[in-house]
Formats: sequence, structure tokens, C-alpha cells
Amino acid sequence: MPLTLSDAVRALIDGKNFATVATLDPDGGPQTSVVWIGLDGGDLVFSATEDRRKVRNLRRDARVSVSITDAENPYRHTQLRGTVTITPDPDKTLPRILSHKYLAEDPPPESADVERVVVRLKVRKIAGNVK
Amino acid sequence: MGVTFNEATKALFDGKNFPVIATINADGSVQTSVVWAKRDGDAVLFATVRGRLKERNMQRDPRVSLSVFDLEDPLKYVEVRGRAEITDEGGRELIDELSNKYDGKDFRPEPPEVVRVVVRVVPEKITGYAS
Repeated sequence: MPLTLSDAVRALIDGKNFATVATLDPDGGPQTSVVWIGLDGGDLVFSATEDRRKVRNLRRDARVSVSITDAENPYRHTQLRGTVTITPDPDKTLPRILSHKYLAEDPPPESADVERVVVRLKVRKIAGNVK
Repeated sequence: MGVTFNEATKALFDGKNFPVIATINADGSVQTSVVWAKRDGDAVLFATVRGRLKERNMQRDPRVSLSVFDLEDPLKYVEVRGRAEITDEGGRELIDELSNKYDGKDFRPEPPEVVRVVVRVVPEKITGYAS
């Protein structure tokens, strides 16, 4: 059963904070990258393109851990572990939302050939000092 | 000849930034946590405690991924994938050194059963803007 996120964790996701997403490489080793995040219907979401290693990894193995640090105070952080679902974003809606959230501007133009997806986290376990 | 850090990567680990470390759990899933760290030549050092989840994970499987971004400009980030080498020697000295780097003072005293260890991450692959 996915967990419902507390107000404190939702605030971290909603804020202009950066997240580190950890996925599993084909050989079972860890891979990390940094992303913008958003709160959608109580879930953490982020945007990515099909060609990225994290997306290829997550399609093979949906297990993930997302670390979010509070930009105002890096000693406040949360670690959200769970699995993801990946859905197409053909209108490239999420990158526009996130670019406005973080930079108050449109994202740079992107070719229609570039396939955007929405990655949505289902949280199973929470660690860190913000729970 | 091992993998070396370029100037941008060195700056990220030399600065007061908060790397996220990903390790592999016993069931093959991935977990993340936030650490203080310093650079030691072309390796990264951080301190943890024997018995903690990340330490047990690294003892079982030394493959790690460290991502760090510049708190002042989070779009500058680097991912270091490599292997962790763990030693007891110098653990307390390292946590004090890191505490001074980040907080300007020694770390709080810890009871003798808390065994601080040094984790040295030897990079095998570096990606991200700074690479």
C-alpha cells in the first residue's frame, strides 16, 4: 500500500528544492541524478525523456529512492523509497510546469521527436529527518 | 591510471555541499542518504557509523553512486559512480574534520560503542554537467 505523504514532506516536494533520484543499473549497481520535482495529486512527480539512463533503468526495474534536501536548510531532508509508474507526456506539460515553478520561465524549445514522460513515485518507506 | 576529477568536480566536493549517496539493499533495491564529504585527491571521503544501513550495504556490495550539486547553483551537479572502501582507522578524526568544515566545530562526543568509519569512494565513472 503506498504511503500518504505528511504535510512536511509535501512541503519539501512543493518547494523549490532539488531531488536526487537513485535507480538501478542493468548490473544491479546504483545510479543517481538530480531533478526538479513537483507535487501532483499528493504524489511526487518528475519529468524525464525516454533516452535518459534513469528512465531506461526504471523501465527495467521500477524501484527507486528519492532524496530531497531543503534548499533553505540542507540539514532538513527526506528519503522516499518506493516504485514508479511512467506515463507519456506528449504535450510536454510537466516540463513547462516545473520550469515555471523553478525559474518562472518557459523551458527551452524541445523537438517533438524527444519523448517526454512523467515519472510518478509510489512511496513505500520514508527515512531522513523530515517524515 | 584511475579516473580523475576535473576542476568543476573538485569544487563541488571541496565546497560545503551535501552529497547524496546511493547504496544497494539486501533485496537489491536502492537507498539514499545525505552525507558530509570531502575530497581526498581523486577520491571522496565521508564518515559513517558501523552498523548503519548504508555501511552494512556497502560491506555487502561496495558499489555506490554519489551525486552532489552546488547549493548556490543546483543546476551544477556531478554523479560519481565507484566502489566504497571502509576502514575503522581515522573515523573519529574524519567526522571531526567534516564537522569543522561544515559547522566550524568538532562533532558531538559519541559513546565508545559507536564505531565511526571512513568510507573512501574510488571513482570509476563520472557524469553530469561538471564531468
